[in-house]
Amino acid sequence: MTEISARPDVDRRPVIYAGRFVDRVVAADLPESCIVLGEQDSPLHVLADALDRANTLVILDLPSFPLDVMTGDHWDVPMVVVLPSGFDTDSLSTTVGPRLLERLGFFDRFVVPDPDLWKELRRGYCWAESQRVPVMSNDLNEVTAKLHTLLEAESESPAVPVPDHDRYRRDNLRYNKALHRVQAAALGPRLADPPEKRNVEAPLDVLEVGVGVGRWASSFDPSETRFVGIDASEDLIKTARTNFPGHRFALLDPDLHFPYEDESFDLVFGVTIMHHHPVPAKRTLLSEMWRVARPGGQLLLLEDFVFTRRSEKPAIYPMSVKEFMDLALEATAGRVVLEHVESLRYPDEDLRRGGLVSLLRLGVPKT
Amino acid sequence: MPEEDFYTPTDIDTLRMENELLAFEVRFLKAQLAELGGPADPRAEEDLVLLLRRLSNSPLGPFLRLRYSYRTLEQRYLGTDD
Repeated sequence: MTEISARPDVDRRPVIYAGRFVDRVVAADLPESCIVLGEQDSPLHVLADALDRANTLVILDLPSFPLDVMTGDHWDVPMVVVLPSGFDTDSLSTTVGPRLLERLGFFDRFVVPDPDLWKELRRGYCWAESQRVPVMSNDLNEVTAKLHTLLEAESESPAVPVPDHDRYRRDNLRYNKALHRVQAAALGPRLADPPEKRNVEAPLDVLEVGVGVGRWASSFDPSETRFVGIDASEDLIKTARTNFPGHRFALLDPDLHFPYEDESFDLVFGVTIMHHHPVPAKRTLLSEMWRVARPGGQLLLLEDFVFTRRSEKPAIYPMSVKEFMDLALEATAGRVVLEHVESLRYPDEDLRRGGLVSLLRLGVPKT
Repeated sequence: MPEEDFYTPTDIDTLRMENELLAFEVRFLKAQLAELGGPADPRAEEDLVLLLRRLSNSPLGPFLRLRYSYRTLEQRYLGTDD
C-alpha cells in the first residue's frame, strides 16, 4: 500500500472509551498519550471531538458506547473492540451486527477471550486471524495490559521494533483505513459482481496478484468463491495463510510466471502492485494476468497513475495511465477491451492519483 | 487546504499525469454515453432523407413502395401520403 503522511497538522492520540470502568482504567498502566473517556463523557459532542483527533478508538465497554456518535470519517478511525462476556455470535450480531460489526474490517481489532466465539465471528464477517487480540479472560487488568502493549507498538516510536511485513498496518493506521475505504468503494462492487459471472450461480475463481497479508481476501466468502492469492514475499504469504485459512495462497516465483493453467480464473486483480516493478516485469505481470483469465473474464487493476516528487522510496517505477494502457495492449496483443475506468481521490489529497481500470479478456473459451 | 491559499502547481509531471488520468476517464465516460444512446448526429437524418429521395425517384421506387416499411420511411422522412 502506498503510504503518504496523513494530516501532519493534527495531533492524533488513542481514545479509550472505558464507559462504566473509567475509574479502573484511568488508574491502569496505559500509554500517556491516551485519552480515556467514561460514561460521563458520553454527551455526543465530547466524544465526537475526541474522535476527530483519534488515531485509534478502543471501545472497552461496548454495551454503554453510544454508537450514534460515529458519523462520517469517524469510521476511518481504526477500532479495537473489547467484546463483552456473556454474548454469543447470534446475540452480538443481533445487538451490534449491522450498526458496528458489519462496518468493521481489516484495520480493526477485537479483544475476544473465547477462541470458538472468535472463530465463528471471523468466519461470519470474513475477518482476518490477525485482527484478534487474544486474551485469556475479560479481566480488566489483563485487557488493559494487552491494550498497553498494542498501543505502544502502534505509537509513533514503538519501544519494540515492528517487523517489516507488519509495518504498513502500523504506520498511519487511520490514513490507511481511510484509503482502504476509498479503494473498497470503487473496487468492492466489481469484486462482488464481475461481468463473466453475472447471473450465473457458480463459485467464482479469483486470483489476486500481490496479495500481501490478504487485505482484499476478506472481500470474498470462501463458501462462494475460490480465492487464490499470490505474492513474491514468503513472509507475507505465511501471514496471509494464517489470516485467512479458508483461502489459498502461493509464492510467486522471481520470474513472475504464475503457477496456474491458462484460462483458470474469472477475475484476476491487483491493487497498487505495478509501481513496484520496472517495465519488463510489468509487461510479464500483465501478460500472465491475461493468460490465466478466462475469455470474458476480468482483469482489474487499481493503481497509482500519478506520482509526486515527494516519494523518496527506492524501487518506485512511476507510470501514467496512458503508459499503462499502451503496455496492457502490448502485453495482451490487443486482446482486451476496456470495461471500466474510474479515477480516485484519496482522503486529504488535492490530486486524483488512483485509477481503477477494468479490462475484459477477449477470445473463445477452450473446449 | 486553507481557503486563502492559492493552488500552486509544484510539479509539472504530476499535473501531466493527473491530467492524463482525468482525460482518459472522460474519454471512457463519453464513449460509454454514446454506447448507451447519446444525442443523435443531425447529419444522419439528412443523409437518410437524401438516400430515400434518390431511391424513390429511381426506377426501383414503385417496387420499394410495395413494402409497408418503405412507405413508412417515406411518410416519416419525405412527408409523402399513401
